[in-house]
Amino acid sequence: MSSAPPQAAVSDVVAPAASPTPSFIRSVDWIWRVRGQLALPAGQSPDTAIERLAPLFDEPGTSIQTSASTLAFIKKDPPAQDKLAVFDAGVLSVDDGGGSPVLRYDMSSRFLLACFLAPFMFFAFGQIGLAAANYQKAKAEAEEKTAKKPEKKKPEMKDPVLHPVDAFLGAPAPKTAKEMKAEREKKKKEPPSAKPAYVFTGIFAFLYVLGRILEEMLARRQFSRRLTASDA
Amino acid sequence: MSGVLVGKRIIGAEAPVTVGWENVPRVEGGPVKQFVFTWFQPFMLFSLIAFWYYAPNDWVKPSVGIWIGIAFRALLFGLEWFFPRHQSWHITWKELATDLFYVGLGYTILETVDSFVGSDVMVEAIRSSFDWDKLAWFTGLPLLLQAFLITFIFDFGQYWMHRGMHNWYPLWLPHSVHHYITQFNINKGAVGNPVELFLIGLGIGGFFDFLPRAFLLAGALRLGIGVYMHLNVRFNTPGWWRFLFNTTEHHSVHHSQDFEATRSNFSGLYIFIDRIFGTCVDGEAEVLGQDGGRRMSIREQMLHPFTEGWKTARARLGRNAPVAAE
Repeated sequence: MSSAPPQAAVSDVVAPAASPTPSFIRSVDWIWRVRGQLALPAGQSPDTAIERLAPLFDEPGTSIQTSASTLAFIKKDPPAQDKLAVFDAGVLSVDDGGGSPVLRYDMSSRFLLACFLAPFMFFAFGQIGLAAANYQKAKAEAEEKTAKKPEKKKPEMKDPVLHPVDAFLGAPAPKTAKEMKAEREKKKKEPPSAKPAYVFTGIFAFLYVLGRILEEMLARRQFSRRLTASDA
Repeated sequence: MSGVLVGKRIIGAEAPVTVGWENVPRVEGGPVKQFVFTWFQPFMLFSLIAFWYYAPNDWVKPSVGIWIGIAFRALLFGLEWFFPRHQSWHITWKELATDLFYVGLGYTILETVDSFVGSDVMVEAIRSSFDWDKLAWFTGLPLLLQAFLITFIFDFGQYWMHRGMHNWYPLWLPHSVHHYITQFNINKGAVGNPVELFLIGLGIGGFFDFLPRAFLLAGALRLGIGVYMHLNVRFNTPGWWRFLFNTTEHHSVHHSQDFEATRSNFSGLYIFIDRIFGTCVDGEAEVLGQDGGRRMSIREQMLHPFTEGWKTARARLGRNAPVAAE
């Protein structure tokens, strides 16, 4: 484990500040927090479970603090292939009560939060784009109305000619200058669109749902494999 | 690490780089797989060219080009998933979301900014007062030659812009962010600081969109050749392709952790430009990035050019500041 952040930072994950989390935050923190539990294999002690899980955090940029039944971690700039790269911090603890010990995990991810907020950002970009396009259109129309007629007529484009090689190879005849001008005028009249921004709003809404489910599932699978692996 | 002498430079002395095509692994598998992964790139390139060459006029519009680009990238994304070049570059949800964030920026807010202060404005200003007859010699050329010239002029400019980014600190600052990527995936070309994304978006494309077919053929060349630069798929790329065009192999050398290797293979499409100017290194690298392969967060990617620039400016000003008399 390299580039270890100050030990106090890991301690903060184990024992967070005394001030209670506001209930509003608690009700929405599922957006960026992943909590769950896994039953330990029969007869596995808490310290064995923690020992087996620890190598999962042997990654650059990860610091851990362990005790007999708890493992706390913090990650800074984890590598892309770190299996828990999405999570910044978390606590894994073994609860031995009731005769059937379970591993409880509680991990937080700023990346998941950012992905949750991304659709709103792209929607806002769409609105900014629309406002900008409308402003430019209005400005151009106003300038067109007030502009004096030019003394010299703007040079017109001649009809493009197909090269004999292209004609021989069977390429379709090019559009005439008149057709291209008509297309350009038509394009100018089209109302501004924020379609790309809306598409990315949708993509990121989907990505968030996918990531929130997938990353929890993958983390849980990693923990389960570590706990049950015979040679771990 | 001793490195390999290429021209007058030692490549791979600081980090692993494979030099020479004879040392680059080939696709393993049966004859069908070998055949597909040998001819995929030429087949797709010639198919794209044939489509835009013969497509009816009603289809020759940018929206069709955009959809073809999306479909082709989706196909390559599938190939990355099932046939990754390196397992250490395998796509993860976090990498995909990061890459798509940058793709999204390019399609939305950067497009808006470009419409106010970018090349669109300059191109429109020049075009509105242009004497079209002066371009008749160009529009009268064979379509494929027009398309090649459009891409070549652009790529030649990009070569020197890119080389400048690696040689002049103020340009390196925004470009350095792109060099912090630690693996290749289909959308990694979009990852970078917005300042750089804006700079490389300054193009000449707008000059040519009155030649729809030649312009879209140029787009087909860009897609059919350039799409592989950041791709995590191995192909048995034919020798003539490797001689003429930039490949994943060439670009991975450019992104390696070896300093000398990063100062090679600057072109976007036509690697023969690098060959002409003596900056081409044929080979590949798997270990990519800067600072020993540290992965940057998006927040740091956004701020890095400014924070680094500020640190450097302070250090220089501090060093040159006059010492107060006692």
